[in-house]
Amino acid sequence: MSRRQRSVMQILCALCSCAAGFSAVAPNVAAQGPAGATTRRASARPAPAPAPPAAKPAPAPAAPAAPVQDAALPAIQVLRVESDEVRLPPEFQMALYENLIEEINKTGKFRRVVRDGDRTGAQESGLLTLHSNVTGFKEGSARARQVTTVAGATSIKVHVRVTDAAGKELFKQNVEGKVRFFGENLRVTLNFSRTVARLLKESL
Amino acid sequence: MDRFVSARVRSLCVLAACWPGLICGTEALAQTASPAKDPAIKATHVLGLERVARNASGKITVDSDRIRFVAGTASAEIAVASLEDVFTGDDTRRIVGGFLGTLSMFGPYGSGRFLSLFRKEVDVLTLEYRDASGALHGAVLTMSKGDAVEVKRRLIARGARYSLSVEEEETAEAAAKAKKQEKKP
Repeated sequence: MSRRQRSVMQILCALCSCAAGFSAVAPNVAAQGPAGATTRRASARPAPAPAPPAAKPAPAPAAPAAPVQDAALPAIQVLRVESDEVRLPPEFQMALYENLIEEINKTGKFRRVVRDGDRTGAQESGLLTLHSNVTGFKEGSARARQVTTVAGATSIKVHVRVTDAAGKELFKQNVEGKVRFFGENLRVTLNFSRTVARLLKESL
Repeated sequence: MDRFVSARVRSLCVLAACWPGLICGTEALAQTASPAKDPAIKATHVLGLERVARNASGKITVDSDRIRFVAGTASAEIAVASLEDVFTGDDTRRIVGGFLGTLSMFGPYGSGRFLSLFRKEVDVLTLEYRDASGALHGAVLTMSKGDAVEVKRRLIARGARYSLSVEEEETAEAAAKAKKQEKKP
Protein backbone atom coordinates (compact mmCIF):
# COMPACT_ATOMS: atom_id res chain seq x y z
CA MET A 1 0.00 0.00 0.00
CA SER A 2 1.49 3.34 -1.03
CA ARG A 3 1.84 6.28 1.35
CA ARG A 4 -0.97 8.11 -0.41
CA GLN A 5 -3.36 5.19 -0.12
CA ARG A 6 -2.46 4.84 3.54
CA SER A 7 -3.18 8.48 4.23
CA VAL A 8 -6.53 8.25 2.41
CA MET A 9 -7.44 5.25 4.56
CA GLN A 10 -6.46 7.17 7.73
CA ILE A 11 -8.67 10.11 6.72
CA LEU A 12 -11.57 7.78 6.02
CA CYS A 13 -11.11 6.09 9.39
CA ALA A 14 -11.03 9.47 11.14
CA LEU A 15 -14.21 10.51 9.32
CA CYS A 16 -15.82 7.26 10.36
CA SER A 17 -15.03 7.78 14.01
CA CYS A 18 -16.22 11.40 13.88
CA ALA A 19 -19.49 10.39 12.30
CA ALA A 20 -19.93 7.60 14.81
CA GLY A 21 -19.43 10.03 17.68
CA PHE A 22 -21.82 12.55 16.14
CA SER A 23 -24.65 10.09 15.57
CA ALA A 24 -24.37 8.59 19.03
CA VAL A 25 -27.74 9.14 20.61
CA ALA A 26 -27.44 7.64 24.02
CA PRO A 27 -30.09 9.04 26.24
CA ASN A 28 -29.45 6.85 29.25
CA VAL A 29 -32.70 7.96 30.76
CA ALA A 30 -33.70 6.03 33.81
CA ALA A 31 -37.44 5.76 34.19
CA GLN A 32 -39.33 4.12 36.96
CA GLY A 33 -40.91 0.90 35.74
CA PRO A 34 -44.30 -0.38 36.78
CA ALA A 35 -42.92 -2.87 39.26
CA GLY A 36 -40.59 -0.38 40.84
CA ALA A 37 -37.75 -1.49 38.66
CA THR A 38 -35.91 1.15 36.73
CA THR A 39 -35.66 1.02 32.98
CA ARG A 40 -32.47 1.84 31.18
CA ARG A 41 -31.80 1.98 27.52
CA ALA A 42 -28.98 0.03 26.14
CA SER A 43 -26.40 2.07 24.42
CA ALA A 44 -27.73 3.16 21.08
CA ARG A 45 -24.22 4.16 20.16
CA PRO A 46 -23.35 2.84 16.76
CA ALA A 47 -21.15 -0.10 17.30
CA PRO A 48 -17.90 -0.64 15.50
CA ALA A 49 -18.26 -2.20 12.12
CA PRO A 50 -18.51 -5.95 12.16
CA ALA A 51 -15.52 -7.77 10.82
CA PRO A 52 -15.74 -8.22 7.07
CA PRO A 53 -16.76 -11.67 5.92
CA ALA A 54 -13.47 -13.47 6.05
CA ALA A 55 -12.34 -14.51 2.63
CA LYS A 56 -9.16 -15.79 4.14
CA PRO A 57 -9.18 -18.10 7.13
CA ALA A 58 -10.05 -16.15 10.23
CA PRO A 59 -7.50 -16.22 12.98
CA ALA A 60 -8.57 -18.16 16.03
CA PRO A 61 -9.71 -15.82 18.78
CA ALA A 62 -7.78 -15.45 21.95
CA ALA A 63 -8.60 -17.99 24.60
CA PRO A 64 -11.59 -17.01 26.75
CA ALA A 65 -10.71 -14.62 29.51
CA ALA A 66 -9.11 -16.54 32.34
CA PRO A 67 -11.25 -16.59 35.46
CA VAL A 68 -10.24 -13.97 37.97
CA GLN A 69 -8.40 -15.71 40.80
CA ASP A 70 -9.66 -13.51 43.62
CA ALA A 71 -11.45 -15.54 46.27
CA ALA A 72 -13.22 -12.43 47.57
CA LEU A 73 -15.07 -11.94 44.29
CA PRO A 74 -18.38 -13.73 43.85
CA ALA A 75 -19.13 -16.29 41.15
CA ILE A 76 -22.23 -15.83 39.03
CA GLN A 77 -24.35 -18.33 37.17
CA VAL A 78 -26.09 -17.11 34.03
CA LEU A 79 -29.34 -18.95 33.44
CA ARG A 80 -30.92 -19.54 30.05
CA VAL A 81 -32.89 -16.51 28.86
CA GLU A 82 -36.61 -17.09 29.35
CA SER A 83 -39.28 -15.64 27.09
CA ASP A 84 -42.66 -16.48 28.59
CA GLU A 85 -44.52 -13.40 27.40
CA VAL A 86 -43.19 -12.92 23.89
CA ARG A 87 -42.08 -15.21 21.11
CA LEU A 88 -38.35 -14.75 20.76
CA PRO A 89 -36.58 -16.39 17.82
CA PRO A 90 -34.15 -19.07 19.06
CA GLU A 91 -31.12 -17.37 17.51
CA PHE A 92 -31.84 -14.24 19.58
CA GLN A 93 -32.33 -16.33 22.72
CA MET A 94 -28.99 -18.09 22.29
CA ALA A 95 -27.21 -14.92 21.25
CA LEU A 96 -28.48 -13.15 24.39
CA TYR A 97 -27.24 -15.99 26.56
CA GLU A 98 -23.81 -16.29 24.93
CA ASN A 99 -23.24 -12.54 24.80
CA LEU A 100 -24.26 -12.15 28.45
CA ILE A 101 -21.67 -14.74 29.49
CA GLU A 102 -18.97 -13.13 27.40
CA GLU A 103 -19.66 -9.56 28.48
CA ILE A 104 -20.02 -10.44 32.19
CA ASN A 105 -16.74 -12.34 31.96
CA LYS A 106 -15.07 -9.24 30.54
CA THR A 107 -16.03 -7.09 33.52
CA GLY A 108 -13.57 -8.93 35.80
CA LYS A 109 -16.02 -8.40 38.62
CA PHE A 110 -16.71 -12.08 39.11
CA ARG A 111 -14.45 -14.92 40.11
CA ARG A 112 -16.14 -17.22 37.63
CA VAL A 113 -19.09 -17.09 35.25
CA VAL A 114 -20.95 -20.39 35.37
CA ARG A 115 -23.18 -21.54 32.55
CA ASP A 116 -26.74 -22.82 32.94
CA GLY A 117 -26.74 -26.45 34.08
CA ASP A 118 -23.00 -26.59 34.82
CA ARG A 119 -22.62 -29.21 37.55
CA THR A 120 -19.26 -27.80 38.61
CA GLY A 121 -20.99 -24.56 39.61
CA ALA A 122 -22.41 -26.22 42.73
CA GLN A 123 -18.91 -26.21 44.25
CA GLU A 124 -18.75 -22.40 44.15
CA SER A 125 -19.45 -20.72 47.45
CA GLY A 126 -21.81 -17.74 47.46
CA LEU A 127 -22.91 -18.32 43.91
CA LEU A 128 -25.06 -15.51 42.52
CA THR A 129 -27.64 -16.29 39.85
CA LEU A 130 -28.63 -14.06 36.95
CA HIS A 131 -32.23 -14.53 35.74
CA SER A 132 -33.38 -12.88 32.52
CA ASN A 133 -36.93 -12.79 31.21
CA VAL A 134 -37.74 -11.16 27.88
CA THR A 135 -40.77 -8.90 28.20
CA GLY A 136 -40.71 -7.21 24.82
CA PHE A 137 -39.18 -7.80 21.43
CA LYS A 138 -39.57 -5.98 18.13
CA GLU A 139 -37.66 -7.34 15.20
CA GLY A 140 -36.99 -4.40 12.93
CA SER A 141 -35.69 -4.36 9.40
CA ALA A 142 -32.01 -3.89 8.73
CA ARG A 143 -32.83 -2.67 5.22
CA ALA A 144 -35.28 -0.03 6.43
CA ARG A 145 -32.84 0.99 9.16
CA GLN A 146 -29.90 1.47 6.86
CA VAL A 147 -31.87 3.20 4.12
CA THR A 148 -34.02 5.55 6.19
CA THR A 149 -32.07 5.86 9.49
CA VAL A 150 -35.25 6.57 11.42
CA ALA A 151 -37.24 3.39 10.76
CA GLY A 152 -36.66 -0.28 11.29
CA ALA A 153 -35.06 -0.26 14.73
CA THR A 154 -34.81 -3.60 16.53
CA SER A 155 -35.43 -3.52 20.25
CA ILE A 156 -35.56 -5.97 23.09
CA LYS A 157 -36.74 -5.48 26.67
CA VAL A 158 -35.59 -7.86 29.36
CA HIS A 159 -36.29 -8.02 33.06
CA VAL A 160 -33.00 -8.89 34.70
CA ARG A 161 -32.54 -9.88 38.33
CA VAL A 162 -29.71 -11.28 40.39
CA THR A 163 -30.27 -13.47 43.43
CA ASP A 164 -27.85 -14.84 45.97
CA ALA A 165 -27.47 -18.48 47.00
CA ALA A 166 -30.35 -18.12 49.49
CA GLY A 167 -32.64 -16.69 46.81
CA LYS A 168 -32.55 -13.12 48.11
CA GLU A 169 -32.90 -10.53 45.37
CA LEU A 170 -29.79 -8.35 45.12
CA PHE A 171 -30.52 -6.51 41.90
CA LYS A 172 -33.39 -6.09 39.50
CA GLN A 173 -33.89 -3.88 36.52
CA ASN A 174 -35.67 -3.67 33.19
CA VAL A 175 -33.02 -3.30 30.53
CA GLU A 176 -33.60 -2.36 26.92
CA GLY A 177 -31.34 -3.07 23.99
CA LYS A 178 -31.66 -1.34 20.60
CA VAL A 179 -30.10 -1.29 17.18
CA ARG A 180 -30.89 2.00 15.47
CA PHE A 181 -28.48 2.38 12.62
CA PHE A 182 -25.44 0.15 12.30
CA GLY A 183 -25.44 -3.60 12.45
CA GLU A 184 -27.75 -6.46 11.78
CA ASN A 185 -30.69 -7.38 14.00
CA LEU A 186 -28.70 -9.80 16.17
CA ARG A 187 -26.52 -6.90 17.27
CA VAL A 188 -29.30 -5.93 19.67
CA THR A 189 -28.25 -8.85 21.88
CA LEU A 190 -24.70 -7.53 22.13
CA ASN A 191 -25.85 -4.00 22.99
CA PHE A 192 -28.16 -5.41 25.65
CA SER A 193 -25.46 -7.65 27.13
CA ARG A 194 -22.99 -4.79 27.35
CA THR A 195 -25.53 -2.72 29.26
CA VAL A 196 -26.28 -5.57 31.68
CA ALA A 197 -22.57 -6.18 32.27
CA ARG A 198 -22.01 -2.49 32.96
CA LEU A 199 -24.98 -2.34 35.35
CA LEU A 200 -23.78 -5.42 37.24
CA LYS A 201 -20.31 -3.95 37.49
CA GLU A 202 -21.72 -0.75 38.96
CA SER A 203 -24.28 -2.31 41.25
CA LEU A 204 -22.72 -5.44 42.73
CA MET B 1 25.57 -52.49 -19.88
CA ASP B 2 23.28 -51.37 -22.70
CA ARG B 3 21.02 -54.30 -21.98
CA PHE B 4 20.91 -53.34 -18.28
CA VAL B 5 19.99 -49.71 -19.07
CA SER B 6 17.32 -50.69 -21.59
CA ALA B 7 15.78 -53.10 -19.06
CA ARG B 8 15.59 -50.31 -16.47
CA VAL B 9 14.07 -47.88 -18.97
CA ARG B 10 11.53 -50.52 -20.00
CA SER B 11 10.53 -51.17 -16.37
CA LEU B 12 10.19 -47.43 -15.72
CA CYS B 13 7.97 -47.07 -18.79
CA VAL B 14 5.77 -49.92 -17.60
CA LEU B 15 5.52 -48.36 -14.15
CA ALA B 16 4.65 -44.96 -15.61
CA ALA B 17 1.98 -46.51 -17.80
CA CYS B 18 0.44 -48.38 -14.88
CA TRP B 19 0.66 -45.50 -12.35
CA PRO B 20 -2.74 -43.82 -13.10
CA GLY B 21 -4.42 -47.19 -12.96
CA LEU B 22 -2.81 -47.95 -9.60
CA ILE B 23 -3.91 -44.59 -8.19
CA CYS B 24 -7.47 -45.04 -9.45
CA GLY B 25 -7.56 -48.51 -7.99
CA THR B 26 -6.46 -47.39 -4.54
CA GLU B 27 -8.92 -44.47 -4.64
CA ALA B 28 -11.72 -46.82 -5.61
CA LEU B 29 -10.74 -49.12 -2.77
CA ALA B 30 -10.74 -46.20 -0.33
CA GLN B 31 -14.17 -45.13 -1.52
CA THR B 32 -15.66 -48.54 -1.09
CA ALA B 33 -14.04 -48.94 2.32
CA SER B 34 -15.46 -45.72 3.86
CA PRO B 35 -19.12 -44.69 3.61
CA ALA B 36 -19.93 -41.79 1.28
CA LYS B 37 -19.73 -38.46 3.11
CA ASP B 38 -22.28 -35.69 2.74
CA PRO B 39 -20.81 -32.68 0.96
CA ALA B 40 -19.59 -29.83 3.14
CA ILE B 41 -21.80 -26.76 3.38
CA LYS B 42 -20.42 -23.23 3.42
CA ALA B 43 -21.36 -21.27 6.54
CA THR B 44 -20.42 -18.22 8.58
CA HIS B 45 -19.96 -18.46 12.32
CA VAL B 46 -21.96 -15.76 14.07
CA LEU B 47 -21.28 -16.73 17.69
CA GLY B 48 -21.07 -19.54 20.20
CA LEU B 49 -18.40 -21.90 18.90
CA GLU B 50 -15.33 -21.96 21.07
CA ARG B 51 -11.95 -21.38 19.46
CA VAL B 52 -13.57 -20.01 16.29
CA ALA B 53 -13.61 -16.28 15.60
CA ARG B 54 -16.91 -14.51 15.09
CA ASN B 55 -17.79 -13.90 11.45
CA ALA B 56 -15.36 -16.58 10.34
CA SER B 57 -16.33 -18.29 7.10
CA GLY B 58 -15.90 -22.01 6.87
CA LYS B 59 -17.53 -25.31 6.09
CA ILE B 60 -19.89 -27.53 8.00
CA THR B 61 -19.72 -31.29 7.75
CA VAL B 62 -21.94 -33.77 9.53
CA ASP B 63 -20.20 -37.08 10.20
CA SER B 64 -21.71 -40.14 11.76
CA ASP B 65 -21.69 -38.82 15.32
CA ARG B 66 -20.60 -35.19 15.20
CA ILE B 67 -21.05 -31.90 13.43
CA ARG B 68 -17.82 -30.14 12.53
CA PHE B 69 -17.19 -26.52 11.55
CA VAL B 70 -13.82 -25.75 10.00
CA ALA B 71 -12.69 -22.20 9.26
CA GLY B 72 -9.10 -22.18 8.09
CA THR B 73 -6.97 -23.44 10.95
CA ALA B 74 -9.70 -23.04 13.55
CA SER B 75 -12.31 -25.72 14.00
CA ALA B 76 -15.03 -26.79 16.40
CA GLU B 77 -16.85 -30.06 16.89
CA ILE B 78 -20.13 -30.87 18.60
CA ALA B 79 -21.24 -34.41 19.29
CA VAL B 80 -24.68 -35.06 17.79
CA ALA B 81 -25.71 -36.81 21.02
CA SER B 82 -25.03 -33.64 23.03
CA LEU B 83 -27.36 -31.51 20.87
CA GLU B 84 -30.50 -30.54 22.75
CA ASP B 85 -32.23 -28.73 19.94
CA VAL B 86 -31.68 -27.55 16.39
CA PHE B 87 -33.53 -24.58 14.93
CA THR B 88 -33.57 -23.02 11.51
CA GLY B 89 -34.60 -19.50 10.64
CA ASP B 90 -33.97 -16.88 8.02
CA ASP B 91 -32.47 -13.44 7.87
CA THR B 92 -30.94 -11.05 5.36
CA ARG B 93 -27.40 -9.76 4.98
CA ARG B 94 -26.01 -6.80 3.06
CA ILE B 95 -24.25 -7.86 -0.10
CA VAL B 96 -21.62 -5.18 0.50
CA GLY B 97 -21.00 -5.70 4.20
CA GLY B 98 -18.25 -5.47 6.77
CA PHE B 99 -15.85 -2.54 6.98
CA LEU B 100 -16.37 -1.60 3.35
CA GLY B 101 -20.12 -1.61 3.91
CA THR B 102 -19.78 0.73 6.88
CA LEU B 103 -17.47 3.05 4.94
CA SER B 104 -19.95 3.13 2.09
CA MET B 105 -22.55 4.63 4.45
CA PHE B 106 -20.58 7.88 4.28
CA GLY B 107 -20.42 7.88 0.51
CA PRO B 108 -21.76 10.90 -1.37
CA TYR B 109 -25.33 11.27 -2.67
CA GLY B 110 -26.69 8.47 -0.48
CA SER B 111 -24.73 5.83 -2.36
CA GLY B 112 -24.25 3.83 0.84
CA ARG B 113 -27.95 3.78 1.49
CA PHE B 114 -28.56 2.73 -2.06
CA LEU B 115 -26.14 -0.17 -1.57
CA SER B 116 -28.08 -1.17 1.58
CA LEU B 117 -31.03 -2.01 -0.65
CA PHE B 118 -29.12 -4.95 -2.05
CA ARG B 119 -29.38 -7.75 0.46
CA LYS B 120 -29.26 -11.50 0.21
CA GLU B 121 -31.45 -13.97 2.02
CA VAL B 122 -29.59 -16.27 4.38
CA ASP B 123 -30.57 -19.18 6.58
CA VAL B 124 -29.77 -19.14 10.28
CA LEU B 125 -28.93 -22.37 12.07
CA THR B 126 -29.10 -22.37 15.86
CA LEU B 127 -27.62 -25.25 17.82
CA GLU B 128 -28.31 -25.78 21.51
CA TYR B 129 -26.01 -28.26 23.22
CA ARG B 130 -24.52 -29.26 26.56
CA ASP B 131 -20.89 -30.05 27.27
CA ALA B 132 -19.52 -32.86 29.43
CA SER B 133 -20.31 -31.01 32.67
CA GLY B 134 -23.88 -30.27 31.57
CA ALA B 135 -23.27 -26.59 30.81
CA LEU B 136 -25.56 -25.08 28.19
CA HIS B 137 -24.01 -23.66 25.03
CA GLY B 138 -25.54 -22.08 21.98
CA ALA B 139 -24.09 -21.62 18.52
CA VAL B 140 -25.47 -19.53 15.68
CA LEU B 141 -24.35 -19.93 12.06
CA THR B 142 -25.58 -18.40 8.84
CA MET B 143 -25.52 -20.08 5.46
CA SER B 144 -27.06 -19.86 2.01
CA LYS B 145 -30.81 -20.18 1.62
CA GLY B 146 -31.96 -23.76 2.04
CA ASP B 147 -28.72 -25.07 3.55
CA ALA B 148 -29.81 -24.83 7.21
CA VAL B 149 -32.74 -27.14 6.53
CA GLU B 150 -30.35 -29.57 4.85
CA VAL B 151 -28.00 -29.55 7.87
CA LYS B 152 -30.94 -30.04 10.21
CA ARG B 153 -32.18 -32.99 8.14
CA ARG B 154 -28.71 -34.57 8.28
CA LEU B 155 -28.53 -34.06 12.04
CA ILE B 156 -31.98 -35.54 12.59
CA ALA B 157 -31.01 -38.52 10.45
CA ARG B 158 -28.07 -39.09 12.80
CA GLY B 159 -30.22 -38.96 15.90
CA ALA B 160 -30.14 -35.30 16.99
CA ARG B 161 -32.95 -34.22 19.31
CA TYR B 162 -35.29 -31.44 18.21
CA SER B 163 -38.48 -29.78 19.40
CA LEU B 164 -39.82 -28.71 16.00
CA SER B 165 -39.47 -30.69 12.81
CA VAL B 166 -38.42 -28.99 9.58
CA GLU B 167 -42.02 -29.02 8.32
CA GLU B 168 -43.37 -27.56 11.56
CA GLU B 169 -40.79 -24.78 11.44
CA GLU B 170 -41.68 -23.97 7.84
CA THR B 171 -45.37 -23.79 8.73
CA ALA B 172 -44.69 -21.56 11.74
CA GLU B 173 -42.49 -19.30 9.64
CA ALA B 174 -45.11 -18.99 6.91
CA ALA B 175 -47.75 -18.15 9.53
CA ALA B 176 -45.49 -15.50 11.09
CA LYS B 177 -44.84 -13.94 7.67
CA ALA B 178 -48.54 -13.88 6.85
CA LYS B 179 -49.25 -12.23 10.21
CA LYS B 180 -46.61 -9.59 9.51
CA GLN B 181 -48.08 -8.83 6.11
CA GLU B 182 -51.55 -8.55 7.62
CA LYS B 183 -50.28 -5.92 10.02
CA LYS B 184 -48.57 -3.81 7.33
CA PRO B 185 -51.61 -2.17 5.68
